[in-house]
Amino acid sequence: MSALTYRRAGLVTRDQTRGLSLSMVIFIGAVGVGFLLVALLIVAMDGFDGPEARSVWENSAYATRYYPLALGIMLTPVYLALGVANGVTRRAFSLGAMGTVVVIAAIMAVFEAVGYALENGLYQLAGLTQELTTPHLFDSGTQVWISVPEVGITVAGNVAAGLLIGTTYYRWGRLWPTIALPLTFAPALAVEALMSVGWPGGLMIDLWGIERRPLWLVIPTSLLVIALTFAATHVLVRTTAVHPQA
Amino acid sequence: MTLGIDVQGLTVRYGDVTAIDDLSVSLAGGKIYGLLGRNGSGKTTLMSSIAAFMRVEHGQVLVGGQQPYENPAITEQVYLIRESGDFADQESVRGQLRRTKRFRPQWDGEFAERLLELFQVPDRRTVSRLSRGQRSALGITLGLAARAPVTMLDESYLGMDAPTRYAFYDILLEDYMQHPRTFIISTHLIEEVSRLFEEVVILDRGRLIAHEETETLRMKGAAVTGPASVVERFTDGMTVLSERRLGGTKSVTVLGEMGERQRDVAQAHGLELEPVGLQDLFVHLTKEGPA
Amino acid sequence: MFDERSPIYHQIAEAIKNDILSGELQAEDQVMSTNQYAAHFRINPATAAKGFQQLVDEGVLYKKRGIGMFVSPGARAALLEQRRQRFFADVVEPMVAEARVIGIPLDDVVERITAMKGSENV
Repeated sequence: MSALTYRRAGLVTRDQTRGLSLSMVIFIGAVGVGFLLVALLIVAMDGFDGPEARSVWENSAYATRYYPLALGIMLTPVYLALGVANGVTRRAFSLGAMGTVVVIAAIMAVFEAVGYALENGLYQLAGLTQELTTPHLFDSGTQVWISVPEVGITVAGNVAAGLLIGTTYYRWGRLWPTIALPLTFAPALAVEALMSVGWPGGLMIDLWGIERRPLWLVIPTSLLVIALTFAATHVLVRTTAVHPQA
Repeated sequence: MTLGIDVQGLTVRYGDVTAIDDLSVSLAGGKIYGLLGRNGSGKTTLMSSIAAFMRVEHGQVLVGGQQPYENPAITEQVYLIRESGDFADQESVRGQLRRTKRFRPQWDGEFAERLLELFQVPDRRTVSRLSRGQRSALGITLGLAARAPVTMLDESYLGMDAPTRYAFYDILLEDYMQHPRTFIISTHLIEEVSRLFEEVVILDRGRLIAHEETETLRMKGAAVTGPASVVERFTDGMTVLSERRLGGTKSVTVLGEMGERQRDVAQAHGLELEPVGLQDLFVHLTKEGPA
Repeated sequence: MFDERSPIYHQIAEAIKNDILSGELQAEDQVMSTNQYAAHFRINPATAAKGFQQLVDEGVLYKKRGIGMFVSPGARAALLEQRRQRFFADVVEPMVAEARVIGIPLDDVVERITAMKGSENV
């Protein structure tokens, strides 16, 4: 691949992240404020009983996973025609969209990790211990060096699956991509199950008693799943025609 | 830099509909081409193939001697403005300018501002809230200011009112003369724009009907009117495009330039020879009928 | 400005010739550039250039490199001579033919011309 392709892929990532930035800011603001309100409400209602308090922030994980998933689904349907119309090759578009996935995942990872760390600090101030109820790679909200990659990889798995799903819909319409959803959404579930985090991780542990494998195995395997998802998307995008206008 | 376009044996099918049927046409770089054809004649499909919106599966399309599909050096130089434009509808007009600037190496920002002002496009407005005419104007603004060596406008100015269209014709000519490049302009408004075209390409049902210098083509049609029997004798052996009869008088539209000799013959027999406008010629050439 | 009867470049050449004949364009006057002409009349510059080239070929205009095109010194005289030669073929002969068709005796035509000559203030 030529340097030109990489340069234009970089432009695609910048264009897409710029396009998504406003809705991301609104989303982050809404989640941040929302969870602060929920926390205050719980404290005002009956407070926490005992020194151990459930993490409220943990519930935000669903929002920071599935909203980016939705963004991922949008990418090809919204941006492929824009890219090609502006003289971007599909190869550059696909690489650029992967860049966008990584950027979204990184933003969400930092956002989540800051949330965990903040909550941990607030609980400590109140003399409480932050109790995590879903499985995580980290034990305490203060371990940002673990929470950032954990959330980052999880979100990346979801957005990458979203990108693949969106691409299949753009290419084949409604019927077959819907039938293929269990397959195209599988990478997102696989990443979480592999890392034993979130509800898919919970299922693995509680239902089937499968414990987490060592991190040196789990993280590269998860990254491999994401890479394969990217590869599948790339192959599809390379041969996808831009829809004619009605 | 100007880029030529060479199409050889191009065939494009959508399911069992043949949009382009074994089309070969060669366009030298640096000219303004008019691409004419009825709805569904394959104009958009041809331009989509040149702009790498789709893969060429049968035949060959070359831009500057290279295949455009997945070829960044070429796609960067080729810009197709489609009828409804390719915009992010939820973004502002300014956002569209920012995007095109990002991807088009020859982008001229000042020219874009001038065009927005000329066409009175509100630059802060969300694209989805633009009127049809403003949408067209935005597409043309992006298309011209990008200065792509191959710029294709697919019915891009249909939504614009007549004064705005004339403003567009003027600015198109002005910018073309300052920055010569290849333009392909598809249109229904033949009478209005044909004088801007150096050459005209006419498609019908996916086939090439004509590719000529505009002025040569304009002179190709003639209407011969006079007594029916005389007209019939005169037009015998000519390509007859249409016939009309009123009592003993007959009017026949023929294809082919009238030479000095034929004019003399017509005059001697009391026949009236009249030129046929490009629009009428186009209508005759692409009339429905058995292929 | 232009009609469909002949190619535009032909009509451009004719228009400039008329300007030279009427004296609007004098010998050694610079004519509009191809681009100015194209922009002014909203026509393709290559088409306009063809009209000018025709005039250069006929010797009506001449080019000064890098400056532009100018009316040749003998252009007006040459054009007048051309028109004079064409006058009988283009104007007089069709008039006579028409007069015959509609039954006006040629003597009447001559008489009328003579009368017009008498009213001329020369």
